[in-house]
Amino acid sequence: MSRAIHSGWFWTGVWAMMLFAHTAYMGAFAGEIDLVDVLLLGGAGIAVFMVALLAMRRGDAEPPTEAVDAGSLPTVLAAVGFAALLVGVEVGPWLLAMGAGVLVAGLAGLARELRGRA
Amino acid sequence: MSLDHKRLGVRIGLTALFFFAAGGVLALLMRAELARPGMQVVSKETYNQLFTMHGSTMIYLFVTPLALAMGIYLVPLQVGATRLAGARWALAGWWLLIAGGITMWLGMFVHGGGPDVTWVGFDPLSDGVNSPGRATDLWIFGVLLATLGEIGMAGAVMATLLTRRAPGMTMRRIPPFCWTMLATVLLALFSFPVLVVLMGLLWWERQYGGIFDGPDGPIIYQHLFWFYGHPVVYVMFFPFLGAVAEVIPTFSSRRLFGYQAFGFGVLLFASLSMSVWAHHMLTIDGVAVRYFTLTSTLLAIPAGLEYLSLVGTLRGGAIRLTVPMLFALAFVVQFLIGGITGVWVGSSTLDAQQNNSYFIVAHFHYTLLLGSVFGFFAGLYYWWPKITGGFLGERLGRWHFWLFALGSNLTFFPQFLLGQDGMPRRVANYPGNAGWGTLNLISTIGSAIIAVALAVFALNAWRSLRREAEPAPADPWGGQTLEWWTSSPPPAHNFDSLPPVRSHTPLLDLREKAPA
Repeated sequence: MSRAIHSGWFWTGVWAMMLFAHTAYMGAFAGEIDLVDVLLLGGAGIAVFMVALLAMRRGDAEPPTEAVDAGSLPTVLAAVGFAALLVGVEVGPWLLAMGAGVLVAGLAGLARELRGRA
Repeated sequence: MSLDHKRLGVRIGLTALFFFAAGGVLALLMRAELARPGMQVVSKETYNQLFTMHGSTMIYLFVTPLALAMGIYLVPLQVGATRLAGARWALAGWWLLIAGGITMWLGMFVHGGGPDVTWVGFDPLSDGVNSPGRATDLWIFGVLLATLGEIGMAGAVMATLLTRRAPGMTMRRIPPFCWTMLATVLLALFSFPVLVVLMGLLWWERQYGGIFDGPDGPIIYQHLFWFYGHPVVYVMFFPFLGAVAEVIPTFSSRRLFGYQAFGFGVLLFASLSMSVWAHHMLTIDGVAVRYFTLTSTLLAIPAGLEYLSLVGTLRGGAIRLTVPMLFALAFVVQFLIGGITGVWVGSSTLDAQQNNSYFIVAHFHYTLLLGSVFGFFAGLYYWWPKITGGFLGERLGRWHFWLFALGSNLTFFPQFLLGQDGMPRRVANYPGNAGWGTLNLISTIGSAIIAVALAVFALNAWRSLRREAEPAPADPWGGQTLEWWTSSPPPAHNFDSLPPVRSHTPLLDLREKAPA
């Protein structure tokens, strides 16, 4: 415990517990419990708890010293392609097709970038 | 396309400030219309579009990304990291924000006029029958894209806080600003996805129906919206509270009073802020009024802890009234007004009187503009030398501060009185015999003074960037945290070396140990 209190996962977990606590006393004060209320707040608590568990498994490792990429064009392409794809649903097939093409190019570039780092 | 967190932070911040200017112009138009009773400047339809786009721009495109931009720039420096973890998420987030902003604003120029569904997009007001046309669809996609981008930025900050801390920088030694950023990104990561899903559902509802059709549909919409819509208020507050919690100790030459309680208090504050969403719906039948009034009132406890920390730090300190300190102190006083009126409207009985009145408008502007934006300027004047390598002018800074304080109080304090007197919000006109003309005129004059104050700041920034100011050393203020260890501006790799970290104030520890 004394070591855990210095870790990121511990405080993420504490926050999940706080959300669970607020969900728990909802029953006492809400009268009739609304399922939507419980699902929203309790669901968020569960999601935070899962992240805390993942962070605990990873541990607070020392930050690695690694080469830092200066920039990433594929990331930009993927983001812009995704946005165009989405807005294309409204604007028309021409933007949708362009967006899909840019997104695929971006994702392919990202895969290459990340493979190169591995 | 840079992955350097400093460049990214500055670029996201500049994007947010651009949208601040755009949203501000809309606000000036609205205030011009309301200066006198009657319709003078815009039509009622245009006015509806103006307040929809003003609110949407300020919330989705200005304050939220600005808060995250501060985290992206500062968190790696404060925890002693060489880079941002998940920088690609943040980079993608910035481009999604830009795409979202463009998409949302494109809606203003389509046939039939801009979106007029409020920043909340209330259903059934926003459904395909009541708001036909492309503008609302584009607004929906704009909100969705910008929010997705903000989730990406928040994820990168969270990953950095959890995995990139320097040796010795345990969680109980991270600076106060990092505690507030942790709370911010927890809120963003676990409430923003609900808005993304909701915008998808609203789009589907508009095209095909069947989502919010039943009698409970509009209430379900509001539950889902406010589950995002209240936490986002704190996303737009915590980082600026964190900035003030860095400024006040530095310019009081003391450590933050009650550091541990501050950190725990921020987490408690954030968790409660996840559980108060339906206080925006207290006047609707079927809402768990007792629970949401209770949680809303409980917020006063962590808020009190934070205030105790800030005021306790001032007590007995060697206070230097620099421009960042002036903004920080104004934040403390003005946010208190926003906070106390928040307890007021969090009470279901009092809210029944104030709901949908100008009192609400005054309340949330006291928290967001007179609170958060003052906190932002406290942080900006404080970290400007670190970011740019030069200083902002002290004299222009003081002009900026006093004009901004005067203008924003003149704008928003009269709105409390107007709301108390029953003036409803979201109206383009009001009766000439209601006696609201003078207060509205004062409010409009105040908004013009705000515009002048921001012009003074722009001039100050321009002069500083033209290198008319003296160059800044690594630690110009006597800072306490790691970002002041490295040069101004920092190199690409952030640090050539790091001092030992044995508390949340490693630089103050070193100074105290150094021989006199």
